[in-house]
Amino acid sequence: MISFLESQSYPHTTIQMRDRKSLVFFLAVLATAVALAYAVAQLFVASVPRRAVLRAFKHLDQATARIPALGGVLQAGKDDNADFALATAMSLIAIVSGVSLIRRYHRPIAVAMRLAFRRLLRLADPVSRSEATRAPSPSRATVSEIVAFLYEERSARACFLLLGVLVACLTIWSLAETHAAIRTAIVICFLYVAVYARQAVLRYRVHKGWFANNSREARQFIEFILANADGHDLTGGGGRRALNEVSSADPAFGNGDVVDA
Amino acid sequence: MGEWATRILGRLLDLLALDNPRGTAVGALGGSFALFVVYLCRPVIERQQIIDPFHVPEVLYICAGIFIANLTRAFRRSALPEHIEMQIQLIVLGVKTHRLSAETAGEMYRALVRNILAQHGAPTGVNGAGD
Repeated sequence: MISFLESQSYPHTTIQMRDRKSLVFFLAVLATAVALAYAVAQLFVASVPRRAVLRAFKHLDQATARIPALGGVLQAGKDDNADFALATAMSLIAIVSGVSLIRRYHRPIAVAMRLAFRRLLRLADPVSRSEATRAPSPSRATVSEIVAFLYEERSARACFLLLGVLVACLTIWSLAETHAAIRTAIVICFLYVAVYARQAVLRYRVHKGWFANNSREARQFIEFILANADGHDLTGGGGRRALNEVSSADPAFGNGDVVDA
Repeated sequence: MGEWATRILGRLLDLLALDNPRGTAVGALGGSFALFVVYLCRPVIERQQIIDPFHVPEVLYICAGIFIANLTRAFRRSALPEHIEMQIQLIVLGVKTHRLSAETAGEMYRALVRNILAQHGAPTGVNGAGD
């Protein structure tokens, strides 16, 4: 029965389906754009050079200026479904501008996302809520905090990748109307949330002083120390590279040279 | 309770290969790409009767990608020196035979980490709180 219904052609039903998908897809693109805008806005907080932010906004402006042109081209081909064409055009622009933005500014955006995430954690935690308004001091950085930040650095890159796959899945779903794409998108969403959950658990354990009190975490921690001790300066003095060089752009650690208890 | 819950939750999430998030993301990307290629080559694949990749759920493509991306980690040997590995094994054995409580074992793990940090000239503060 279902296959019989699917084999029939119902033009109005197809248009309704497409409209609905357009709406959902438009909302997804809007959410992505808001997330990107939020990350860019966080750059001001992260004290990243103002010129980089202005360049990013200029790049976004150039990208969004092409929306009417591309929307018009697609609309000419699909007069019966203008919303769908516009949503597709917007999604393409969002993907292009998002990917190019991430390629150019992935490091400051990763730092901004990390700061925003840390702030959320602090606000959610009543113990450290009073610390949210106080700028963290470099002298408070401990080795396990650096381990946590290194995990966040890797997580940020992983999340960018997953976000790219998610947007690609939604685009394919919108264009090809295949259920495989939306099911894949759901799995990717789950992974995305899980990566952030793992990050939150790690940071919470570090904050509470529970990190490295079992064999597994102790093993991971010692492996990390042994892997990073050579050629790095764990004391913060001397001429060798600092351990937290990766998070050197993080204002919470100043220039990232000091690792003190 | 909180310590136990976060430890179990962290371990459960690590079972999803999330202790290596970049590898997991690359695996998911690879699985999705394989799925895309399979659907792209659908007319060619449907001509043969030997395999039918369209009956495989999409989740399995992503799981296979994640598995392949993390395969090398499964066969990787412990990177710890033998004497450190031995100390950890002794503490684990002590907990299993009920000669050590979980709290004492936790303190011993942290003391071990502090020793290794001190050997490498690092500050001995392990955690943000307490140490």
